[in-house]
Amino acid sequence: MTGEVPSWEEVARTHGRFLYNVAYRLTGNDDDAFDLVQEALLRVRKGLETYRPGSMEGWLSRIVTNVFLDEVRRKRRRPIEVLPEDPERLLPSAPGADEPTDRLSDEVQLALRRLPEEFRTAVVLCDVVGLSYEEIADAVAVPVGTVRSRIHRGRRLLREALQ
Amino acid sequence: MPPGPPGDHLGDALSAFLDDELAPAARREAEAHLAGCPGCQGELEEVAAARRAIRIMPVHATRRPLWGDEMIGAVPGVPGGFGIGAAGASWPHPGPERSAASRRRRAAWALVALAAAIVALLLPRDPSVAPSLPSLADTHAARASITEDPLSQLAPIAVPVRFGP
Amino acid sequence: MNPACRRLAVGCLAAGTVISGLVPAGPALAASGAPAAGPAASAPAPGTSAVELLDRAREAAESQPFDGVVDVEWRDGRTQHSAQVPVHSAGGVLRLGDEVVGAGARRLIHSSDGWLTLWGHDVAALGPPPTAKYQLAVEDGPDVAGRPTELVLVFLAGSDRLRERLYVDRQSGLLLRRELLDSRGQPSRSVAFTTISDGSSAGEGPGAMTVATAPGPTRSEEPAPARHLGPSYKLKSSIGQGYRLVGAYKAKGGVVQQFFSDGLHGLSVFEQRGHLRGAETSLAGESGGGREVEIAGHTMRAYSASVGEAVVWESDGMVYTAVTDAPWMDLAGAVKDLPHADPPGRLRRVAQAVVSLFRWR
Repeated sequence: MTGEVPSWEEVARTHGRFLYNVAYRLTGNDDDAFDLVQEALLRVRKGLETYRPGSMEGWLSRIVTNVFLDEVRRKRRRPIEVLPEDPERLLPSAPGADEPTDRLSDEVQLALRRLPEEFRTAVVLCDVVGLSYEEIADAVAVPVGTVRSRIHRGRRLLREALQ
Repeated sequence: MPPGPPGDHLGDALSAFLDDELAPAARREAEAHLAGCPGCQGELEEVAAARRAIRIMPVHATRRPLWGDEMIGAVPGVPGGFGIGAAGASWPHPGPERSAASRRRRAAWALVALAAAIVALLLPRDPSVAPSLPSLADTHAARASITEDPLSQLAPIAVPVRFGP
Repeated sequence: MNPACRRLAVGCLAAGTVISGLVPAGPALAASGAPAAGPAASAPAPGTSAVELLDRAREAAESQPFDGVVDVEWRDGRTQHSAQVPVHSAGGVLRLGDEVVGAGARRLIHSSDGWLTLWGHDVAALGPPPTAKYQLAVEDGPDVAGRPTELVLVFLAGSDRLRERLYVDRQSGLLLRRELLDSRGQPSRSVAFTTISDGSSAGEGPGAMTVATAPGPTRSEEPAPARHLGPSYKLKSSIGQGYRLVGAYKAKGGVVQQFFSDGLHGLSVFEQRGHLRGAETSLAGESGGGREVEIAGHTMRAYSASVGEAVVWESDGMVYTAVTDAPWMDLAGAVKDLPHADPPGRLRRVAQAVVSLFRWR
């Protein structure tokens, strides 16, 4: 690694697919995932000025997670705006717009969506992105012990939901 | 281990164990406990199954462009690694006047470069590898037996002599 | 091949269709219910498409109880090899000899380091359908191991040359024989039952190996999602003729495996950092010397074995091993699409190292 800071375009092109996947696993539907990635890319653009070369995916994970949790907190403050969970929206919204999925992974995604957001975030960062507990703690700004507990409880809830 | 309900003796240390996030001493304790506790073994299986279910999800992609095409456009790729041309820019270029100071500076740079070259010659080479063909072939066949037909993929693995005479 | 007796059946299952009753994953994860064990599948209805037959065969291998001996034959240059493997299946656990155990999508393989557990899932939905690359036909087949069969014929789409024959048991749906044919129509590789009997469906007999009692230490390989691999690994979505990427995995010792499928055959590309020791490598283990081949203008070594063909080469600091059970031409075609660069000379490496020192910030 030469330690150069990539341009915003390079990040968007190289890591766009990664960002979208994480966003989809967090939000559970394509429309929200799309919005989440857009917002994240905006923050990436600003953040690149102070970015020091290190783990790009760790850094991007932190950004997309924060955007997601910010949005979750915003919705919680105004519960009237939260739409009822619509199972239809969890399937690809426009045929042809998105890649086809397989049924098993749809079921797992549905179960994932039923997890409280903090648990879902911890589990996604661990098992979709592959961050260590410490990296997750850094990304979400909670102690490692909390990360550990959220991952474990998240997995157990997921297990129940998949029975 | 703090006592808990059967199957939950380890609490969230179980996930930490699975993710290899326990310190060595705690890991040994957990292993020792699991060896003698079928309830927790079963719980480990369940948690591992949940973890696997997420890990094996394929990358979910979209064909919609994530940003306007005019933003991304056709940006020329960054030359990977080191082009000598780019590096050339960081080498000091001696100017036409050859003052004593610039001579000393050039000498100093040359010494640094020589030292660097010596260091580079001593740098370890890439590791030499010998792929373990039988092991890789088995891994391939086992993986293929899940997508393709199990019997015709797995039977050859079970053949004792696998690669030539 | 007499065109008059060929019943052309176009595959009607699109990729992504899950056949009901097909167990989705390993232990206890099935959201759609318990695995289907029990009485043999009914005989396929007339007009059953080839793809359905093959999908059903895969399911039967994972759920039907049976006992038998399988004959494995392959050719290495001019030498013909053959070996016999006893096979036992009961209670959803498939055991081949003493070396391989399969349960659902899980595989246990015995090697000198003990037992390796390979976790998988039902990836059939993720690979391409065989009809993307092949044209399949179904005919009445001869008896194999004393059982009447349906014969699936495989042609490359748009070609008249028969590539492969698969014989499926009419009664149980199991694949009884599979032959890969070379350009002269002779089998170059085959796996076939010589004897087979319906096992008892009353669970496992004494001495049968269950998944839980695999002796000795086991180490587990879970599929690592592709993004874990870091930016230096560029995953190809497809290579060669019709081989699509199904998954990327991290194996032991920093070896990365990309697994491709063309719907009927698998092809793996293993990568590890480093350089190949010497020209005459005797590759860690029982392998023979292989033979030298030329692909894309580069010389490399190729090997034939019971599990398939392999090619090893290095490019730009990476050692590649490509393995497949498909015919040699498929492997060569895929290898052509992979990197082949001469290693940088010593002088260039020194220059690179010196330059990199000056680029510290």
